[in-house]
Amino acid sequence: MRYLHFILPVMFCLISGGVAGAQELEQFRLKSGEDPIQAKPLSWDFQTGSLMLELADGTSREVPASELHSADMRLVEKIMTKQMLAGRRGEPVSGVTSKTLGSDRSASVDRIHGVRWLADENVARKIASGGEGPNDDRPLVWFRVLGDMTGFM
Amino acid sequence: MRTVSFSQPDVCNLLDKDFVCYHTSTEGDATAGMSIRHSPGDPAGTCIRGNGPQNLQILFLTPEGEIFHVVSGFVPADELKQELMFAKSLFDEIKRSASKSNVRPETIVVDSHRTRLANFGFSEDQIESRGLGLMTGGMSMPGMEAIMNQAGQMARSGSQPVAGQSGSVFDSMIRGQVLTDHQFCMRYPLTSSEEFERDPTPLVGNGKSFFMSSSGGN
Repeated sequence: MRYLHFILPVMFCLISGGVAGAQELEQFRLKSGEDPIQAKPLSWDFQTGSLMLELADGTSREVPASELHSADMRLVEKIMTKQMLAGRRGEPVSGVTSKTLGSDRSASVDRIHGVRWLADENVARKIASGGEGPNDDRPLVWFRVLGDMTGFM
Repeated sequence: MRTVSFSQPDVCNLLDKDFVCYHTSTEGDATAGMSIRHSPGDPAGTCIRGNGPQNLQILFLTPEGEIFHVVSGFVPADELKQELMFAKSLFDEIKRSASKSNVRPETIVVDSHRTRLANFGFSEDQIESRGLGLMTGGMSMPGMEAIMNQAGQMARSGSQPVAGQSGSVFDSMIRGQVLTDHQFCMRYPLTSSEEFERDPTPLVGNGKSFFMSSSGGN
């Protein structure tokens, strides 16, 4: 009976997690023109600039940001933000290792003054060049400040 | 900056939609200025454009990390909007040049900055002047005097004010910083962010600027 108290919540979590997973499938378009990928975004790897996806059949696939359609980069940014916020709250994030998330400040994403701010040039450059072609690229703005974005000057 | 430059929704929308923004701190950097730490809730003090050029540099880069425009020091919201629009337009021009084998992107950067300075009323001599440091806004003294005289003349004649041409006593400082920023881009067109981080002194100099803003009262 004592074990039941432990097993039942675990089973509930597994079942609800599976249902949620099925509901969270997103469509990711690729520059290559390949058929869009229906998958659940698992994590963003700040080290490699790649998105880890869980496909509908349960297998995983890693897609570099440079291969994603520019229109889907906004979705990637949302995932990064969600991931970082979860990391800061100390919550476990599916598929994210301490190496990719950890306490690495450079990987953080903040929304300050209504603007999405990254704290790492390499990540910013990957997103900026995430367009389908040269015409979809965006320029970078680098605020090099004494202090931080909320308190400087 | 925290309360003034981002006070216009237009500015924030432009930054968020048309640019990818990132920030780094220069705390501990030998070339950084000095500042009293301001909390986000502090009321904004009075600043003029270009205040604290060692405390803040806004650099515009291509996705490859090449710098094509810079703005140093404090920037009021309406002027930041103009800088964003100039940067966006210049970036588009650089991209277009990629398909033309006979146009070097560096040339486009230099020409754009030269044209903009001329539109701001800088003379050819001022544009080509060699900087002497932050105290003179990166200008030679003759250049500085010419700008001070010109600002006064424009104020008296009622000409349309542009960056640092309002007729105030601060005009020469503002225009000096504007000139320094553009000259940097003309002398180091498309320099890499890594190179700039290794040695930012061509833009920020070797001196120390101190920044403190106060709203008075408390």
